[in-house]
Amino acid sequence: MEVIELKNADSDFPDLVKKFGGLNLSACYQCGTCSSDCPVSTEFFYRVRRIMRRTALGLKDKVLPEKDIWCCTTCFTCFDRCPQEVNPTDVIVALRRISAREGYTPQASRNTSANITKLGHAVPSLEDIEKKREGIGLPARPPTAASHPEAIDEIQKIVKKRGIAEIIRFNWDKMELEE
Amino acid sequence: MISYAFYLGCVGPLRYPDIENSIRLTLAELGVELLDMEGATCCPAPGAGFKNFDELAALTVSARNISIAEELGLDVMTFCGGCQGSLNWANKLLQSDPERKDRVNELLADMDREYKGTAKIKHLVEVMNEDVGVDHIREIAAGRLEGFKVAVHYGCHVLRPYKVEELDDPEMPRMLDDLVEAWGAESLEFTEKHTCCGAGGGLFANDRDLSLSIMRKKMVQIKELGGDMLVDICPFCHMQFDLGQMQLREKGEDFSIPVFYYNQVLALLMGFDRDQVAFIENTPRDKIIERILSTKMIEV
Ligand code: SF4
Ligand code: SF4
Repeated sequence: MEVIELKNADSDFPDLVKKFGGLNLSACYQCGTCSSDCPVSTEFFYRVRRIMRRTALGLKDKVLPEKDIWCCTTCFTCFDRCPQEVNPTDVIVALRRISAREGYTPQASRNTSANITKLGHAVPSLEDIEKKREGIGLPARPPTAASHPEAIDEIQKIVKKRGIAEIIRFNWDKMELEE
Repeated sequence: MISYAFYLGCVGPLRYPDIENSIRLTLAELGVELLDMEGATCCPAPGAGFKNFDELAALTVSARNISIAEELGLDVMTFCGGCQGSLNWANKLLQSDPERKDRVNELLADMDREYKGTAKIKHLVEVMNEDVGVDHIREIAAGRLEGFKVAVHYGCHVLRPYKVEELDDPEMPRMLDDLVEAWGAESLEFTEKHTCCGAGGGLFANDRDLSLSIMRKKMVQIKELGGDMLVDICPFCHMQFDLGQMQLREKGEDFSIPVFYYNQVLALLMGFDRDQVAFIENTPRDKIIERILSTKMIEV
């Protein structure tokens, strides 16, 4: 059995998580409903209940660097079923926000936000699909940011004001992620 | 005629334009007018985009999208679970929280936009049930798909969190089942029926193997039950099933369960050409499409 040393805990951590959106964290009474209903938990050793406990205890080093918080599919099953309205999905997203600021975001998640910043869309338009669109009488590019560059400028204003580029380490000169 | 601002999102128009076209063609004939939202962007993804980094940025991008519909004076129709989840979450939060709304509008003022909070956000499944009606679909299909076994997939964000979506019982929804049964088909019951497709939250790209192992459980059961096809209402879930089955095939496991967006099958039943509405696929659909097209009306 693993011994948890609370002297290594950060007692301010739960408040930080609340500030980033995990408002009801303290209501968790460890029933385990979330873990038993989670589609990811059946596939590998990922336990929502354990993340809630470690977070509430301030064991941030056992939460922030872990891959676990990036494995949630945000299916919201635990959110709907938690008897205490902890809204575990919100706690996990709050943990992602903090973990990202410490540089732990997986590459793929940085990529999605880099795409939205560059293109206004999560995925790029592809030549092959553009041809297929034209073949069925649709414009090669949809009437979205994909054909309205000014819409992308607007998204970039939001990104700049909110400091997202710094969090995901997006380089404006190269218009791509660093590293 | 009822009209909506048609919110496209990303995966629909940029990966499966045949789905987009099937929706445009069927709804026009069913009396639902769709107006384009010029300059709309990513919603921006409920678990994979800006929301992971900054709540206000995510809310502002959603509010910007919604403001385009407000300018048209219309409610929004989405056809993706993720888009529905993002936009409805932002809309309801901002409608009930004037302080957040002010902060969002401060950012939008920079681009001469304003979010008012006057539009509703509806997913296509709601429009199909409430504006078109299950009876209308039943008349069109005239029992043609009797004997077809269909596995339906709603997509998490169409129904959850219930507090936001308030659409159908997320534990035992009926809306899509009713629409599929209106074709004359049987909607299969199985334990993984309402399980997540495994693609959301960034997991699709963050850990492909884990994501696929969630999806696979559903396929195993559909196969066991002799399912003829899987019918979804989200282009991202659709990509997970369509592309994901190909990836599982490459690892030596072949399910070959044809995957359709709801309106693709409907379009075929309404007489639209397959080459217009259902021609982009990684998991073959030729045989089942042939079978669908060879069915005859058995009741009116
Ligand atoms: S379901 Fe809620 S109360 Fe129970 S362990 Fe999970 S978060 Fe805690
Ligand atoms: S929202 Fe995340 S943690 Fe909760 S049940 Fe779904 S995948 Fe698991």
